Formats: sequence, structure tokens, C-alpha cells
Amino acid sequence: MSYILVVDDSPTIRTSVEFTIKEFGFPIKQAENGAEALDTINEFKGKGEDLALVVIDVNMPVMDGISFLKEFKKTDRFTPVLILTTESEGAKIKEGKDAGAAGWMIKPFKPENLKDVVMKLIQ
Amino acid sequence: MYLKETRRYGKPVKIIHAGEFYTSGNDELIQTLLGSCVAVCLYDPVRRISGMNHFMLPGRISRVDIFNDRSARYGITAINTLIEAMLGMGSEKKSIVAKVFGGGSVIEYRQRAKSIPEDNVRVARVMLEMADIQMLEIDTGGAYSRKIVMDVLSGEVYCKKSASEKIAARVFSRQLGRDIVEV
Amino acid sequence: MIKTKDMKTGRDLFILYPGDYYASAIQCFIGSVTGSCVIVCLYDTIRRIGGMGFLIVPGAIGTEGIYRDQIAAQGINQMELLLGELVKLGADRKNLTAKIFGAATFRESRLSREFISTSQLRFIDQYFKSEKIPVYVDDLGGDYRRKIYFSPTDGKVYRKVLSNNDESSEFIKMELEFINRIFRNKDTFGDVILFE
Ligand SMILES: [Mg+2]
Repeated sequence: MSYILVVDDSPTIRTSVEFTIKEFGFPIKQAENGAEALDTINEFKGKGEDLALVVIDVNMPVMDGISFLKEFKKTDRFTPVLILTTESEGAKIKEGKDAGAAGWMIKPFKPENLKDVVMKLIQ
Repeated sequence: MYLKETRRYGKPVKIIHAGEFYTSGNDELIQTLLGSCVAVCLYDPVRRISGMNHFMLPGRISRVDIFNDRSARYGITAINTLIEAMLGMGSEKKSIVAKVFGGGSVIEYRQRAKSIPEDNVRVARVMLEMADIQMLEIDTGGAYSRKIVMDVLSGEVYCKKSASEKIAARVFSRQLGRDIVEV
Repeated sequence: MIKTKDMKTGRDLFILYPGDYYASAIQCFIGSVTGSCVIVCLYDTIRRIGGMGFLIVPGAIGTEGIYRDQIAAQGINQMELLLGELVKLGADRKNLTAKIFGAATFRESRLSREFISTSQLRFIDQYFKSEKIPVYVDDLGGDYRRKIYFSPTDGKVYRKVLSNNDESSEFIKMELEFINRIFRNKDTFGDVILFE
């Protein structure tokens, strides 16, 4: 079964997101920055595991969410990437859209909203 | 700043204007006229020294202002400057007490200047609280212009409020005209 | 937030109003006064970057803890805003340490002792454990205002208990405005934008 990857430098937020979306039954993996997310994706690709969705933060050490998106989209144009961030500036949102994000959600997130969006994106 | 001799008070009067400050240990008076500007009056009862400033921020303080140093160029440093001048004359910070006046607004300017007078008063109060200087009297806001006269040796401050829209409007138009133009 | 100069050192001094947050990688002071709110100073001990922010959660955290709690989400978000500034400057949260101050209770305050000492402290305890950020100093409680001066490039904090202006504190007034704002927005969550 394909998995959902949750990427955020905050363990609290990774856990909150996992609690919110685990009822869909997808296995959930976590990474704490963009670079770790790319490593995780490659590792599981090698094992033949499919990626259903990435939920990723913007401000993270080592590699931020937008840089991850640009890198990720070079090899995978179809798997949706949902940005989940405190950033709400128009220019930043446009950068995400142009880099191929499927959606942009501003923190704090409403659990029902996150469930709805995840549901839409994995269908 | 200039020296003005008046018979009415029987003492020399030093008049300060926007952007100026004055400290003294002599038997004299310090005077200023305030519209939306703010004056901080400091008094050290131990050394019998007084000081007054008269300042005005250029408007709402935005993040851009903060990083362009615009806000620092105007009123915010004026309070530290005045405290430093008092310390320079031999005051100890723990003996200094403060009074704050001004920050008035007049109806016809209220729209344009909306929160500027409140911001000015807030800055004065914040800076004095950070310095842990006791504020003994705060007479701010309202549709008034204020004439402030401080007696240096006693630290007493006489505040005459004028609600006359005409006079007040003249004071306001001069101050806003001069202070906002650089924003 | 206003910017001025520290009188003793001549360094830039950023004075935060309750609810503001600010981080810096260059030498300066960040200062404020807290009563019932909590001031959090975070410092990256390796990169020498620090920041200060305010924290208040608008109610009691449910028994399930901070991960599923909408009240806690508001506090987590206040911390996210500060952490975001630190990360943008190059800080790594693995190196972060925290010093926290405030949560005073005043006899005449509208805020109950229960709300401050139980709800706030419970959130702080769970949050910093969850984030694995060690709390080096927690100077909480009492019935006085604390003036906090933080030097973000060496992590030093200078604290002074204020003794004047108890009845006319502008910081307490602003703090209540901030707390009211957080309470008003406690059911407000971020927007969702789907592309295509
Ligand atoms: Mg983050």
C-alpha cells in the first residue's frame, strides 16, 4: 500500500498531522527536513513502495519545503505535494504554486480541513 | 530653543519645540506647546533637577520603518536622550520620576493622523516602564492642545488644556505638516 | 515593536510589544516586559542565533494532550512563527535551548490563577518536551512584572523585576489586548488554497 510522507521540523506538528490523517489507513512516514524527505522517498522507492502524498512545511533547516518541491518535481510530476506552513504571503504562495504544489494550507490547521484536503488529493 | 523673560511667572522661561529637550538645575521654568506631540517631564527630587523633551513619531511604526532606522531617528531615542542628560547632570535613575503630557487629537485631523497620537503616548509609556521610572501623572489624549510649564526646582508641572478647535487646529497643522512630510 | 538604542552599550534594542516576535543573528538586544504571558527566548548554541516571542494559550488543554487540541494549536502556532524566523536565519532546532519567563498572577487581574498556572504551565511542559528543546531557565509565577533583556548572539538573558508603575503598566494593558485577540481567534484557522 502506498504511504503518506509528513515533513516538518517540528515533532509536535508531525505528530499532530499524523494523528489527524491516520484514519485514512495509509501508512505514514515522517521526515524532519526536505533533504531527509528526498532520502526517505528514494529509500522506499528502492523497496517498491509507492508514495501517495507529501505534506510538507516550508521553514525547515537543511532544506526548506520549496527547495524540496523543486527537486522532487524533477523526478516525480504526479504525486501531489501539499504545503502546510505559517507562511501566508502571496509571493511565497505563488512560488509554491509555480514549483508544482497541489495546495497551500496555512497554520494553524483545522483538522477537518486537513482531512478534506488530504482526501481530495489522494483520490 | 530660546530664552524668554516673562513677568507673569517671575522667572526665566526656556521654551522648547518639537525635537528638542532641555535639562536644568536652575530656578527657572521650561515650557512647550503640544498638539499630538508628547512631552516627557523628568524630575529628580534629590538633586532638584528637571528635564523636558518634546517629540513626535512620524506615523505608525511599520516593520519597514524599523529596519530603515526611520523610527529611531524620531521620537524613540528622545526619551533615552533625556534620561541620559539627567544622569549626566548627576541624577540617579532610581530617584527620577516622570510626567507625560500631550498626544491630543483634533477632529479634522483625526482621520489622517488616526493612531499617531496614541502611538506617541504608548512609546513614552513603554520606554519609561522599561527604564522602571515611576509615572506620577499622565495627562494625554482628547481633543486638546496643551501648554506645559515645568518649574525646575520643584518639579511641578502646570498643564493648561485648550479645547479651542481653532487654536488646536493651528498647532496640529503646524506639527503634522512638519513631522509627517518625511515619511 | 519599536527600535531604539540600549543606553549602556549603544547596541540596537528591539522592544517587543506583547504578541510580537523577533530573531537576530547579529549583536543587539531584544527586550520586553511580561506579566501573565510567557516570554520565550530561544537560542541556537552552535550557530549563535536567538529570538524572542510571546506565548499564551486561550484555555485549558484537553486530556488527550497537545497533539489533538485546538487550544494547544494556537500556542504551537505562536511558537512556529518564532521558530520560522530562527530557521530563516539559519538556526537548527537541534541546537536550540529555551529560557522562559512570566506566567505571573495578579490579585486584581481578570485572568484566573487556574488559567495561568495550570493551563499555561501544562502547555509549556508538554510542548517543550515534545519539541525536545531543553528549557535551561524557567522563571515563572509570582505577582510581578518581569523586564527581560535578551542578547540573541550569546543567549544571555538579563531579568529585572519591575517595581514602579504597577497600576499604570502599559505592557499589562497591551498584554490583555493580546490575550483578548488570541481568545477571539481561538476558533480561527489558516486558509486552504488548492491549485489547478
Ligand atoms: Mg517549520
